[in-house]
Amino acid sequence: MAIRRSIVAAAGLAVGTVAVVAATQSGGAPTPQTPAGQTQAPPPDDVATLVGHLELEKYKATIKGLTQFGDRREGTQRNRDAVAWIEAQLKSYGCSNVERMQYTPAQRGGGGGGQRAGGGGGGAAGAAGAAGGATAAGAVGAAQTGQRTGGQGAQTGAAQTGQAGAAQAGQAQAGQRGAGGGGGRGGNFGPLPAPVRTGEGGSTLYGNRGRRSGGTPDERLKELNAGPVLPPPFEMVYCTKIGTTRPDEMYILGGHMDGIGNGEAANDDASGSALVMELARIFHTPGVQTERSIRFALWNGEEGGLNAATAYVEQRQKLQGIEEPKGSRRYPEPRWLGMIQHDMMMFDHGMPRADGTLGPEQRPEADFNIEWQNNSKMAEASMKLALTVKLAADKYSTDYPGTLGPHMTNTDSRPFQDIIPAISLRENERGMHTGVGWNPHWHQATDLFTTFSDKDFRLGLNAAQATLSAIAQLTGATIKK
Amino acid sequence: MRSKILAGTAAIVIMVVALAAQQPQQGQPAPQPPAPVDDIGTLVGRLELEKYKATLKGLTQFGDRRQGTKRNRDAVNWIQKQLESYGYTNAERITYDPPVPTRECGPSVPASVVKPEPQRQGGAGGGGAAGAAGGGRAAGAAGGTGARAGGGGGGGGNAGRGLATGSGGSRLVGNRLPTSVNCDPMAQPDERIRTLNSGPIIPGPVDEVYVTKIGTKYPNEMYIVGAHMDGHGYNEAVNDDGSGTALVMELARVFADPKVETERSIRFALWNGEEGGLNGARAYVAQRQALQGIENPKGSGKYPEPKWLGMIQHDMMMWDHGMPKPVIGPDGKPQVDANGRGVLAVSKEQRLEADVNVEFQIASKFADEAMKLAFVFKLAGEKYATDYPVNVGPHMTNTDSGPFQDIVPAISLRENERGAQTGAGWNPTWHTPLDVWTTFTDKDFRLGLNAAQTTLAALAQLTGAKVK
Repeated sequence: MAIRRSIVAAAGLAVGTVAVVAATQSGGAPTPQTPAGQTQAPPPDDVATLVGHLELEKYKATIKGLTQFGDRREGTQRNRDAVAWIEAQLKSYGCSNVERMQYTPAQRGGGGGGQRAGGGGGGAAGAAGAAGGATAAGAVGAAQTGQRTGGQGAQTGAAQTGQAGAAQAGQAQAGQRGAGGGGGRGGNFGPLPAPVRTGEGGSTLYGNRGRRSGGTPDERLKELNAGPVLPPPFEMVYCTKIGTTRPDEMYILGGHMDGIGNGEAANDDASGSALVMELARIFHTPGVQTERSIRFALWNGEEGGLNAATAYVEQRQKLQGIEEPKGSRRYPEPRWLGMIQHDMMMFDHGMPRADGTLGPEQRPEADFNIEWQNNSKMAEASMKLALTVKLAADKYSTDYPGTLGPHMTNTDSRPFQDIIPAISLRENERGMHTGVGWNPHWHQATDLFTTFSDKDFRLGLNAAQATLSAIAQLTGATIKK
Repeated sequence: MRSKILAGTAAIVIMVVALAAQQPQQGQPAPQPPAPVDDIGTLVGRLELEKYKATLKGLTQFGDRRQGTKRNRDAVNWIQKQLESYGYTNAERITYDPPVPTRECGPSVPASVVKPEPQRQGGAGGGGAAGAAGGGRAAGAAGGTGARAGGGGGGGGNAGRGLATGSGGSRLVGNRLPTSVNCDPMAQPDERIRTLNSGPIIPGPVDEVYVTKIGTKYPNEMYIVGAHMDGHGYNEAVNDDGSGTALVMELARVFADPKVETERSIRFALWNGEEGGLNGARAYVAQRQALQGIENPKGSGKYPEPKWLGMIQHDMMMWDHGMPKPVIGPDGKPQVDANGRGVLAVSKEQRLEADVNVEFQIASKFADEAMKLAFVFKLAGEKYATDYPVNVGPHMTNTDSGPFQDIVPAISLRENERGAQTGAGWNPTWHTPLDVWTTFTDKDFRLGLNAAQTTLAALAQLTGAKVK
């Protein structure tokens, strides 16, 4: 059932476009405006000044700070400590209205979210170290559909790390997408039979498949990542830059602070979390004003199935735009204008070679990928938001371009994609690149701060420049002289 | 416009649903609708690498096909003959007076047509007829929007870090190599090719040719699919733009089959004079825009100029070898030139990540619709192109879709982004003696074929193609 539904959903690409038109006509739910033209752009020098506040060393320092909590697996003590550390950091930037949201991950059998095979869909049940095994199950789903996607490699993975979560997770994973996802995290990406080219998010797969690094944690990492998952509820943290003239409307910027893999989750997703934190810091520089609000959200439990982001939507969607107390001009949940997610920001070493290995260096043609989901209700408005970020990057990013793609998938922007314009920024296209092994450190013990070079960190910084400049334009940012 | 594009997109939905119907379904035996034959897949299957190469090879017998030369005029005749051999009986030509070249480009330009070079600042060509015939395009500023200073050049070195802009509103990042048009006939090492390109420009009007697949249901509406058959640089203009020209001719061949029906019309246009400043395409718009949708004779059901639904250009289709990279010497260190600057070169191989670039112009009047059209192509490519992905960018520039971009949704398909990549020297064959048949491998030709698969599939969707 999950399989069939996802295929039909994939078919809705044009329907999505039509639905956007319909949705904007029906007056019920809060109607997001398209980003273009809603605010007169501030003088470009202010945007450039703000972008200039981003520094490679500060970005790296924030990533480094996050890695002290190891892989920050959802629900562990190290995860909880990381939430507290992030909160303290945000406060130190002057983002004083930090809030926490509690949630208990929903039991997701049968693919409710459909996004995540792995990471212990059963909440606390997932033992540390089950990551590999659980995701190998994606290939089980694939085998059921008869597509035999990456089957061999993935089964190898299951044999290595296979755990109880496998069968259950196999159902959650959209089976026919197993080509990328299953092979990806469970084992090596085997060569695919020629006809199999469908990746996650409606993407199409091309070329060589890569291999996971297969690194094993050393003693330091073992100790760092030793603690068990503690019972829910779990928490996530966010803070908000309040708009001057439109405090009741906001953009949401997100990265997920949890990870898996028994490493330091440096790239996935300290790189996105640090990006969001750096933007929070800059927008709270004294003298910086925005007409509209910006919420900086550090999602938890992404690896468990977009848990916090899903809970956020469930808990807070209905609170949008409500003034509380009445007449106070305070809006605990400003109306959502768009959601921009950042997930895996640094590694673009190109397509694997024929033997599955990757170049040791960032490729010169590296880019960051701005994706929306063609198959979502807000596809057209999301495409425009993506274009806004792309054009901002063309103007303000210093080293690497942004590239557009219609297959956003497997990250925290997904719960928003049928409600408001939602996009993700990543080092690679999630379906077509990450899904076939362009990043061998993905969910591995080698996802460490020391794995990455300045060329890698700089790609993340360029994505930060793009989001910062786009959001400065969209929220009408100015600097008081 | 919107409804047309959406209708096209809906075709994708239908096919994906058809695909879903083929998935094994557990439990309930859902009623299986008869799987519609995938006519688009059938049509795409009629594209073959060897046929594409043969057509391209045929074009090279006319050398660089420079506008106004005898070899250019012969090439127009040859193209028409080819199109007629596919079954078209409605080949037409338009004739136009190319602007007088304002700049010398080698001795093949008779002194009589050469005028003293005016002061040429970056943005020439924007004013319609002002485009220079031979030289000059290296500055890359001939595009319609013209807002940017010349993109090319780049100073040869690691110009990277500055916020440099390219043509079409693009942004240049990373390593760059200088680009220029070869104006020296003797720079072509192959004597046979030198001889081919020896004739002068013959003053006077030139022709361009097009044929039309007439739609069964809406003969009064059409998509225009184009490429430019002229070139320059004392080469065989294989990549620029034999590759696009052969693509359009191959599509014309596939659609010519009388068993293939389209609801809407398709015009296959082989522009002339692109290198002179989009001369042929500009002339087409000037002469024919006003004729759109007029039935002539009245009541005949014939439309000499069906209403334009979109314009799809193909220009430089094969070479995506990546960004120029530092050359490593025998000592294992990056080589430097006499000035101590790093030496850069482009790889001899197609890069693994090669893609087809579909571009629209964000500063055009039809930016929104053109962007949607571009993504129809991307999704069609993902479904039907066999080897390489499609990427969409907002900076279409410097090609024959420019004159259409404020009139109808217009896109271009290329090997690279014209502004950010071609403009930064990613293709060393561009307008140089290297643009000859022997330079390219099957991996290169195959990128062109993938663009052909993409356009064919998208076009088949957009025009409602069926195979009887």
